[in-house]
Amino acid sequence: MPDDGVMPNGADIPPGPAFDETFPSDFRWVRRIVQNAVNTLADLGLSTEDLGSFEIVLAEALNNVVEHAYPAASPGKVRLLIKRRPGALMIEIRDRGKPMPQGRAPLGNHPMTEFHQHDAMPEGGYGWYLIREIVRDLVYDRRDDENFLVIRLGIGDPILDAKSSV
Amino acid sequence: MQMTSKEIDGALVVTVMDRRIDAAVAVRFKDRMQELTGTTADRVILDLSQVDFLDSSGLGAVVGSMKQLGRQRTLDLAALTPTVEKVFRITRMDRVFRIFDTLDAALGEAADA
Repeated sequence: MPDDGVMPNGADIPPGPAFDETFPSDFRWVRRIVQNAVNTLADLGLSTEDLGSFEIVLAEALNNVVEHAYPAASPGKVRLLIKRRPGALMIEIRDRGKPMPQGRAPLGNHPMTEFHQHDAMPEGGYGWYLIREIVRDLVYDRRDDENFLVIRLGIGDPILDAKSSV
Repeated sequence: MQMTSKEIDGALVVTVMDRRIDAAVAVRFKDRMQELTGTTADRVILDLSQVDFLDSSGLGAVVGSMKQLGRQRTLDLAALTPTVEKVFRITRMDRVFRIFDTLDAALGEAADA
């Protein structure tokens, strides 16, 4: 769960979430919400590099809920909360769909690990790989039939920036 | 999905006019690629200069489009914007596709170079 405690140097960061929206589990809604969230954070002064990482991670995590948590025939609601912390964004996604397999967030191995031939090149499975490559801290929890995915995305850190450009 | 195609110097250039290739349009993108590449050109260049964002579904659709072309034809990519380039780099798909900085650079290169 996100750290809602008082951070040592967080006095200048407003306590409330920077973004809080609930929307139907639908790919078109994901597109709209992702764009809204990116615009909101751009207004808060995030760098282009950080915004790119944020957009990739958020889109993949939300698409995953639409694709796997709810059956296509009966979409449900998804809630997205984004909180700013010193040096990081906390992205919290809640839904009341199916739990993740084995109660764990996927490890996100590269889908081509087992495929080498041109014809067998997989067309899916890159989503969790992208999330895991960009994000180090991620917690999945299920309580009272609700899924909680909390992602901590480091921002504005030159060491992280250097690593991501390798 | 707004996409156009034209033949330039024997290569078929497909230009995506939409800003995003994401899960909402990935299937339509792949279908449109199949329609537009039903020509005899051996080389297809996908011009992504107007695409700001591509997610893993969009990436999968680009891979699927390459497979649709078969082994005798190639799909090259041109003019990736920063976040699109990042998705290709992180997934190491930049080693699967030939990627050119600009469409002109792609056109200046022979298909079998």
